Amino acid sequence: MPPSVLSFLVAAAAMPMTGKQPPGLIFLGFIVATLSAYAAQELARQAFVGDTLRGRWLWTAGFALASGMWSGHFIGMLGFRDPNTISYDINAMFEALAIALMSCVAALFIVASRVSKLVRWLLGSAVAGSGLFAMHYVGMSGLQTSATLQYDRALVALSAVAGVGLTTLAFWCAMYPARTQRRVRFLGAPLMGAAVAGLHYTGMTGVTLTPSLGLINSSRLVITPGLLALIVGASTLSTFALAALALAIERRAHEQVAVVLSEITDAFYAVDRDWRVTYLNPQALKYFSEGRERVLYRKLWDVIPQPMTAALYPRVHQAVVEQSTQRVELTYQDRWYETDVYPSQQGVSMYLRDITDRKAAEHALRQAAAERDLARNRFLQIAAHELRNPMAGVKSLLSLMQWLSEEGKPMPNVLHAAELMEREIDRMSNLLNEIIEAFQADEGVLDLEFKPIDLAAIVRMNLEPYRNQVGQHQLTVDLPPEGQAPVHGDPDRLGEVVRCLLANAVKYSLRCGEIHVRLVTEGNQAVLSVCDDGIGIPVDELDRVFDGFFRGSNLKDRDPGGLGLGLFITRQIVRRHGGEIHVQSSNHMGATFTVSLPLHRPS
Amino acid sequence: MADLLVIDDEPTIVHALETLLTCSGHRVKTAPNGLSALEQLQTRPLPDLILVDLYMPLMSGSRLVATLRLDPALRTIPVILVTGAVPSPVDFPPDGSYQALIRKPFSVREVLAKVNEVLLGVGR
Repeated sequence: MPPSVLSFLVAAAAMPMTGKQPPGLIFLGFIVATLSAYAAQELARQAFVGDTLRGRWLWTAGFALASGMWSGHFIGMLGFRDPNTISYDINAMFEALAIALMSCVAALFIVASRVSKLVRWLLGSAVAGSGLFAMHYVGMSGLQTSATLQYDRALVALSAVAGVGLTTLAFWCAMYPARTQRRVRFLGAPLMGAAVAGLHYTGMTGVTLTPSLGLINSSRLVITPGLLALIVGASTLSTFALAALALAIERRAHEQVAVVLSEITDAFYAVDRDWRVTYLNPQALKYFSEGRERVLYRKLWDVIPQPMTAALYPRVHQAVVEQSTQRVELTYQDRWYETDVYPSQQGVSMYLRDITDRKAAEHALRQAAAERDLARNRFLQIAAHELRNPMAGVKSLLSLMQWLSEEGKPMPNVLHAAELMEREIDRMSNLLNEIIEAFQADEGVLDLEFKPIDLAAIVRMNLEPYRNQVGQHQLTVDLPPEGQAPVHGDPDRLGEVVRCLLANAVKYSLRCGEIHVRLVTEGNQAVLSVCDDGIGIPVDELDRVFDGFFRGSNLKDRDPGGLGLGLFITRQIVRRHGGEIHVQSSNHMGATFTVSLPLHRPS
Repeated sequence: MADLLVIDDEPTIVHALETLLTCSGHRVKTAPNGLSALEQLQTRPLPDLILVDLYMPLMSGSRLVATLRLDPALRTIPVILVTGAVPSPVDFPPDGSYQALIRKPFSVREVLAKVNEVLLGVGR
């Protein structure tokens, strides 16, 4: 409380009075009015903050202010006693209360309206101040005493000046200071208290009581000062209780909102109509590394980095103009932000979140999809190419036969031609089978028939045709005796595995290369290895060997063809048998494929 | 009657071309790839025409053609490319280093026509 007001009050209380005006009661009136005004100010502020219940907050604030004025006046009146009996007309009391209430509520609605600030201030404080003045003198008119009351006109005028003037000052303090100057705003309440106490004191100083023999009009409903004290006390208390309750509810709701906003991962900014940041949550601080106090109440465009402003401003503007939600993606310093802008009563609310990771994930997904597309296209290309060769062979032979019969010439070596055609058709059908198997393997629906088998026998059986085919290759085979490598598996599929590994060894090694096939048992595993000394596989491509359509980058124009599905299918078959396949290799150093399968020893 | 060399890694194609050209009265030799063809070209008589596949292991058709064009004894032998794939331009030997192109699958009449055309062109 500023010293000037205090000293004024102390001086006022110490002055000799015409009636009795104990300084303690005047001061109490001032305190009650001040506290009510403060409560009213806080309640009214909710009307500016909250989007809803605006009218209700204004009514509550008006009620708090009015009851503070009224209580302040009648607390003062409690000290006004004279030897004559004094009582109060109950109607006048309520009239006074009604006047206070109407003027206060009207004043607050004026202040909260949308006309110019100067008009709101002057008109609002004029209404409140004159309401205070009217309340005082209507209250006085209800004074029931045997003495005659006389008013000093000059002092009545002075009381009006004090009441309206101080009210105007109080409203200025409440309305004008920038948000940073909170201390000035807190002056509003004591000034309002001073307006109530000052008007009362000045007005009462101008009252002279002349004893007369006039009778009190006993037909009117009156109350005694004791009862008045009770009523005033109760009214004051209930006003405070109401204000405290309202504020507690509001604060709690506000805190809940604040808690929610501080816990969400988005940065949140509330921005008012003048683009000032009125609230920001802790996350918002992380983005633009300035202290909260430095950001708060600054213009949004001074807070948001310049490059983002250019993209953000049009959307925020659109949100305000169209009263619609806007979403915009911004990039700043290699990071991506997604911003949602919502129009609000005060201006706009902005949620800003870092979506760099999401953007990266989206990018990775797009890239993966592109790679899948590429692999699919490559597959179609390879498959078409691989099917085209045998088809071209068959077609050529047929065309030849047709031509020969047209020319009336005999077909030489028909048997050889038939064998060739059959081989080409087998090639095509094998390719188609491989494609179908690859799809089944990919979907995990390879058809397998498990039964107890001897892996050594399977290997031997499937090697046999290769002994002739490998031609100039040196093939060495190292197998355990019959029955030493029993496994539970599909003999056809495991044969396929052996043939695939051997075919690869032949395909990717020199004509005179060495190929070793070895089957051993290690613990409860049967381990089959196929080792060649061919062109090998570059080390950084080893983990892709078992993916479909793989072609080593070291093949270049030596590519012997094929779909690149063999190892893909092989791994699926091995895995379905509960086994695993590995490869060891490096460029030009040959390759070793190792298949381990669980042994199945009948107990 | 001419001496022809057919080079292709597909036995069926080789057999078809060999039969066709032999029945048309030519003498035909075959090779499964460019390298083996080069070996054969060291012996005489030299062929009057070479039919060569583009994609083959060990030595591709375009590399063979490039090699032929550098050899004073072999540079004048005409070449017909026989290719199954739709090759990318980089896999082709340079223009002018081959006389004709046949796509697989071919019709035998087309092969005969092109072979005769090239042989006649050389004779002129």
